[in-house]
Amino acid sequence: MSALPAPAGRGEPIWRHWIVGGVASTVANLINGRSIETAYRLAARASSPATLHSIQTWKLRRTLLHAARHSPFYRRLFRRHGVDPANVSHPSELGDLFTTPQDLLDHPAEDFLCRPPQVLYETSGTARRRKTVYYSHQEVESTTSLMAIGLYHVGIRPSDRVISTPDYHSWTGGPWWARAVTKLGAFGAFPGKIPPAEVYRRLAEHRYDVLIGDVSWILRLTELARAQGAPPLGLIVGASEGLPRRSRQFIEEVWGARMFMCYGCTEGAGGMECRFRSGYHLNEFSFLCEIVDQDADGNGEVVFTTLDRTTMPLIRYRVGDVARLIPDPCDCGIATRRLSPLRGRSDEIVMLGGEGVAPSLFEAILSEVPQVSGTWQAAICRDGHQDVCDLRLELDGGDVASVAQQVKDVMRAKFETTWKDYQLGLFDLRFTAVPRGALLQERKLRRLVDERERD
Amino acid sequence: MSDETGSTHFGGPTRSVERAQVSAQVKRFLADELERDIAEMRDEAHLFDDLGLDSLLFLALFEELQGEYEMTIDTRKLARFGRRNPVETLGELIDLITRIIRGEVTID
Amino acid sequence: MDDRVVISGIGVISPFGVGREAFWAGLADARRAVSSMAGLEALPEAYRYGGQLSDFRPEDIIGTKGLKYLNDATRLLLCTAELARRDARLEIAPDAAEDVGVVVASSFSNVGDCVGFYESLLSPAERTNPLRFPNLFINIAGGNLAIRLGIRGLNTTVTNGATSSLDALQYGLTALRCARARVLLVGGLEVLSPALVEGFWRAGMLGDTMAPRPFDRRRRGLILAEGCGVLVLERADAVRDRGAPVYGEVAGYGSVPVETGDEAVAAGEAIAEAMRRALAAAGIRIDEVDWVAAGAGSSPSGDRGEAMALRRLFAAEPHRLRTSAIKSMIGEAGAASGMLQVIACLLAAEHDRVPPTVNCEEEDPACLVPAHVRDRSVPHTIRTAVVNSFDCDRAASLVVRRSDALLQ
Repeated sequence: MSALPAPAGRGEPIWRHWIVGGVASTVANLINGRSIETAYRLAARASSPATLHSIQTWKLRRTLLHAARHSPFYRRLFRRHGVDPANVSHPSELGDLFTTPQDLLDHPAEDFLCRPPQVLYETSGTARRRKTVYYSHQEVESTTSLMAIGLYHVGIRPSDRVISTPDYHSWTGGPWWARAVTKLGAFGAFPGKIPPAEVYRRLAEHRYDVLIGDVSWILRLTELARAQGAPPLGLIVGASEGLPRRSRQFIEEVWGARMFMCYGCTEGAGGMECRFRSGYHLNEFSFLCEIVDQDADGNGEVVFTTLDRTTMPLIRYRVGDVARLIPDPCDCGIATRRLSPLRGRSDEIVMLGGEGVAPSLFEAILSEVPQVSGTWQAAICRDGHQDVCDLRLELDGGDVASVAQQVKDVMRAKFETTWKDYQLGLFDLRFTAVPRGALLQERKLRRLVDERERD
Repeated sequence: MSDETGSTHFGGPTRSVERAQVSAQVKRFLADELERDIAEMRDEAHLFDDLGLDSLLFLALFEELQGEYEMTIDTRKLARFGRRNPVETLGELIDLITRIIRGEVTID
Repeated sequence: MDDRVVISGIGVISPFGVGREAFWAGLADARRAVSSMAGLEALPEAYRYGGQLSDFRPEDIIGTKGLKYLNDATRLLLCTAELARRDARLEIAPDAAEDVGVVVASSFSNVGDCVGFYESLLSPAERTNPLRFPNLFINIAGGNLAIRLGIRGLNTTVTNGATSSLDALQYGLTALRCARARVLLVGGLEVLSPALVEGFWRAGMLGDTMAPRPFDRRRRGLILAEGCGVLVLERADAVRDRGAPVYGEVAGYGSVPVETGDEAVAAGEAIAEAMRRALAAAGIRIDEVDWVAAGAGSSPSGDRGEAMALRRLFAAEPHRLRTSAIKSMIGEAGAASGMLQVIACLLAAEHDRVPPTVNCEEEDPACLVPAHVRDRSVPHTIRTAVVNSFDCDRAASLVVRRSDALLQ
């Protein structure tokens, strides 16, 4: 059973959606600035699937027309695919027209910008180049309002005291959580990704009720709390990475608080679990999500189209995550659909200690260690509640200990964010010398493999 | 025991009792009840201002004396009598009690 | 002008022992303070249980002088008030004595004295001592407290059944706001006696479970208790002048009659409405409540009513909420219960811990309570707590806020 009506056929008159969607959207925007609680009630209760569909259809049409007019990239892309934006009612009608992360890297920013930008973020991760995503201040406000609604939905209230630890650096995490908490009206501290021990001290001193953090960081804090005593916490929000069921149980048992997961990316799309914790309710007011190349279970690549962005709209952006959409309505009453926990990535990037790492990271590091031959593999496993990066190396002379030291030296010197995550204990590094030829059993040696179990 | 005139007096012979004996009894009783030193129970002591006597303690005192001297006193008449014949100091109270016991005073 | 009413001193003597530390230790360790009572041979053995004071010697706290004709209730109140006075570092100067007042909540604390007095009157052999006469009046304790401390301001004893303590606090709150006093000693006081327990038994209100079992499907009625809690209440601006520390604030109050009809339903509706009014008066939202100190005391219908009220009010399952009933540990202390619950809130806030409901191993499915803390106390930050008191006539609720919550 699908919660949304089927996409409108080609050429369906838009005027009905225009009226409903336009009015609802305008009202929502007006309210957004005023009270998160009111906005929440509107979003959660008043939005039926039909209203949501109208809003999305109207906004999509508006976005496509805007991109066609102002973005050289999309102008070219629409022409190449023979797309008339005035006639499109659903992204699936765009066939195999997609935007890829590679497109963002291959083309200059001006190709995508529709207006002068006001805010800049870079994607996290250690791929060779970072993608830059631009926003206006108003777009940041809209997105963080929806994040505030998500926080409200899991039970955070203006009277709560919140400590938010996702990092600042150049991505959206730190600043957006801070803005969302502030919008909610809660008391907040936003120290970023500082060592868990420092936050541990402050928990009791300042009596925080709510903790927001990257999953791997929260796990290290939880281990501290288990050893030294857990100050009372009411609720925990985890971000950035997946959370195995065992680890969520571990966290909840130590703190005696419920933990809610969220999903998001620098390019903007996001979602939050509700109290039933069976998938991420997507922000379908601002993003139109699809799953493409679905397998028999419905898992496929997550693709989203921005609906509210006028600075740098993205149309059918392949974000790289693999998951499925849960079409059934949720008992919590929120009309937006849920994205399942991620099954993996469609590219080679793997989450390690809260950050995406690509094979290029390890290539870059290991190329500076002469004793490591060209045959190596980085395997991400899990030990208890910690990610472990096991570097399986065919050594050309030298011993594991000195190779390990050199690898760490290179990481410290040249890959500071990864090194910081390692220092914080967000992942462990292991070095395994493998016998010659052992790694080449498979036809193709995959440089970076994720050997962690999926729930 | 009372007769038709409504006054109360003792049946039987009037008692012969020394003031000193009554004084000792009253002072010992009050010192005990008020949790004060017996030396404070001077004849010149003001019943209310100095010793803090109240109506219930008076009643208790007369209960005690009734038992001791086998008398019966109607408390309402005693109260009326007390209003008409107020006493201010401990010494005056002891004098009055002594006369009551001796039967020299009619309480009505 | 800061007319909030704050609590600057706590005194408590309870079945857990004498003083604040003993009271908190009992709550935090989830001790069961109900024990077998003497003098109840007329009752079946299973009914001879109550939460009794132990290790209480008035002479240890206020000396021996002047206690001779004071009944047990008065002695208990005097001692508890003395603990509160010391805690608040309150000195009552003669020229300020008219600004200090006393409010006492008590309903059956002198039943034993009344029965004893009448027995003496009816006994031909015994002479009744008139000095025992004042103990027939429920306000004897409050009156003697004022005499002993030289307090010359307002003096009231509140006898309103289960809601007495909360009503007394509301009375005090209003009096302070109207400047009828600058400082008040507000106490909740009850003393058990065999006649009283027998009376409850004959009225069919006592339970034979030997331990109070709030919200448990095996509950069968009350198990009585005695104890006294005294708070020193002042206006916030007066406390600042005095430089005394503050535990918290009496922030809001609601009181609603229980209608006729199904006992549980009627009680539940009244409790829910009382809580709503108290929260509204305090300006507190439902999702800001950190602890509900439930009034459930093993009543078959009353406990169910309170559970219904809590489920309805907290249907959104706010993450901060915790609920428990401390009568499970000490028993039903009548007019004093509300005060003991309020003191439990202040101490729980100080220690960041919520005491549990004990003896509730088999939760009644009809009495499920949101965020129920059972068996062991749990760490929790308490900034706002709600106390419930109710019987078949009336329900009242009081909102208590922790002192540093005032800074927010």
